[in-house]
Amino acid sequence: MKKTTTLFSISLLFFSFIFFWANFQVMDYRSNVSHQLQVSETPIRPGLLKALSGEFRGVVADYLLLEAASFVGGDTKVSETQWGAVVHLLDQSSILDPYFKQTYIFAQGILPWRAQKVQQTMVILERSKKHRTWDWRPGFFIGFNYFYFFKDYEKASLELMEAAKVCGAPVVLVTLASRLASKSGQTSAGIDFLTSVYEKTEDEHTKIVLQKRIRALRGVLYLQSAIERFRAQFNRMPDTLNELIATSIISAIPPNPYGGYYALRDGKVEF
Amino acid sequence: MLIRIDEISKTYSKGIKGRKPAVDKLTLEIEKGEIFGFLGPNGAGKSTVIKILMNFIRPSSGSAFIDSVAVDDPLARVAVGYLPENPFFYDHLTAEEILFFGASASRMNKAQIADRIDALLEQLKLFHVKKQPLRTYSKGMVQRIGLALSVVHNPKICILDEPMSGLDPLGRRLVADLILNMKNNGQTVFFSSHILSDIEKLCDRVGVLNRGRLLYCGSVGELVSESDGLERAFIQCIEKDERDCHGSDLAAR
Amino acid sequence: MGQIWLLGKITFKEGIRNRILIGILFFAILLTVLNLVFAKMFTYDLSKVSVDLGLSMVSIAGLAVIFFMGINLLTRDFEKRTIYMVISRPIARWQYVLGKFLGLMLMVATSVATISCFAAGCVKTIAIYAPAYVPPNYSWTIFWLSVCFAFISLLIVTALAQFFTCVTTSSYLALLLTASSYFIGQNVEMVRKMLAGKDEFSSLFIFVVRIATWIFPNLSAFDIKTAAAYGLPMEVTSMGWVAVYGISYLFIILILTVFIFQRRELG
Repeated sequence: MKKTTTLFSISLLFFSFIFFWANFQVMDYRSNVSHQLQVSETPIRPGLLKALSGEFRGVVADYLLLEAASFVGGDTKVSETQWGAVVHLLDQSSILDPYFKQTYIFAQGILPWRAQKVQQTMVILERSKKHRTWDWRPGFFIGFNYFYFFKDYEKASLELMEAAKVCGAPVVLVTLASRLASKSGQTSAGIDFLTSVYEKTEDEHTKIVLQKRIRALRGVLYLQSAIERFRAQFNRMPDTLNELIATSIISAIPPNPYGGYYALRDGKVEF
Repeated sequence: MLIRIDEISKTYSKGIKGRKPAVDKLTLEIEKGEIFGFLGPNGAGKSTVIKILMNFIRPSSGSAFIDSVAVDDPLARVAVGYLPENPFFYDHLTAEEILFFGASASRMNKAQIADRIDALLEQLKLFHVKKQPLRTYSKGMVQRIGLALSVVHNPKICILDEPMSGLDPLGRRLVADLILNMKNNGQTVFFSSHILSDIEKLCDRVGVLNRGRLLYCGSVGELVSESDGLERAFIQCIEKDERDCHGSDLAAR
Repeated sequence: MGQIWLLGKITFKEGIRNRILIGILFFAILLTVLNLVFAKMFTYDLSKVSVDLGLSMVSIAGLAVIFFMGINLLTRDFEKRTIYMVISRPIARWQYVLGKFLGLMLMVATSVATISCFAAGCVKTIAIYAPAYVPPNYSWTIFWLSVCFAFISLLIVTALAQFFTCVTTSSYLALLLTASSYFIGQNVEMVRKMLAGKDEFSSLFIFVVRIATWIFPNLSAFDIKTAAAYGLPMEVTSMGWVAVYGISYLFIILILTVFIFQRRELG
């Protein structure tokens, strides 16, 4: 008895040592590699997936979302095909459970910014909007994407109007929508729009991107008011922005945060 | 001496018995070549003693030896054949396979196993079903297979827990013959039972157990001569103990 | 060693006679049918789907063997007292634990071998009839490597099942605990990664998850189905470490089982 006990204690210690060592090695190696294996983009049609997951549809949806989230959460560089897999996972998850808020918030927070997958995000948002009739945010985000990525102010305004109709939507949406629709107020409305989104954003990367755009729009606003003053003074539009400096209406053209210069085209300032 | 039990006590840690020991400082010795019967009412601790001998449970204090080897050494069981109270086996195996396992696990010489199994099954009238899985067996047949399993390797000592329970008269006769056969071969048998007629017929010595204590240990003749018949002697013995030591009579239990 | 082998052999025989072969065959047929169905449903990467399906089926069939047969076989020893038949022989407790494990290991191995051969057959058939669909880097080495890793992971689950059986001696509890350990083992790494570098979770929660990664086996490390399906390159040393990790974990669990079982009373 005594002898066996000692023997087992020694072997336990031995294997524990190996186990600890191996576990550190495995953790180390899997902190980089496993991501490539983790995103399992199963090429299953959503309808079939729905049938296969049966009554566990909700859990499967949560699981797919979790898998996508853990993938994106890692620090590794994500390749184009991997982004495709993430989009696919989120899409499947949203089909399985179109009511889940986490899905569209996550999609909107990551996909358009880091993967330039605006079109795919819109699909997920539309699905959420259709099902979450009590929620104004999907519509709001759709409007924002029209505004920001597609620069389609009319569509954005329409979407915002619709979102504003949802019970509990902030009143600001209506004013924002009407200002976006009217040509004169577009730029300042855009700044307000961006600022409100900026305040709600947590992702640092997205915040930087948004701030850049706000700075650019502030520049546009500044130049537009300068053009107005030019017109009041000379009763014509300036041909170039440099004319504003030449006539000392402004002292300098603000730097374009996107690099390059602001340009004047058809009486509108572009960046 | 083949079995030596030295001041063994066993108290189960949980249960409603109020921590009364199931076995209380029991000392017992069994000599080579004898048939020892272990008597006692239900719950007297017979099975507990046997399980301690087989190292299924460990005594709270005291020690036990089989053939001078402490029972917690697996090698003590090389010399032992054991039949549990209600034997159950892997019931998809055949009689042949299970006996082969038993014999080889007890380190029997491989060359002799097949012949031994056939002879034993013949003796227990099970030869015709030796290739059938055990789940097709009746209760009596299972009991007989259990007996065959306990003696297949010709053990020096056979420990049988209630070998007669659940058997018809013919089956009991078979078991009795087997036990006497072993005695003639110089093997030792230690068995518990509450079927007194079997004990009277087979045993050289008996031990009477009540509430974990050994009341009597000696030859059957002496016990019987004090009153007429083993049954009377047994009941008197238990009743006396209940009156003297526990302040209640048997009927009240 | 002889005693362990004897016990392993009768455990295996008992399991095989107990309709386990029918179960394995059922999975093999299911696999073939699903392969046919899926081959009709997908247009791309047909052999990838087939590999996925085959390897998943290897795992599922193995798990079914453990959960429906293995645990039953283990707890029956305690519930029906068939264990007396074994340990009344000169078989030490540690030999009993290892012998039982050997028997279950043989059962799982039979299942894995049968299903993986079926799976390989299906993949081969698809590769012959639809050669254009085979991923360019596809390699049989990785396919069989994946089968081996699935086998290691199944053995870990088996050892856990045996451990829980020895602790609880109740088939229901053992089943429940083994199943939970399996699910935790599959997902613990993912959860840990999600938490890494995020400070919005409480430190207690992170601590619990970190402890869990050490207690439960990281079963997702053994899952290289995707790599097998696309023939992705594998690093030899890292896979070696995963194997060492799994086997050392297996031995630790077995030793703990022996420790507990040594002290167990079988009244």
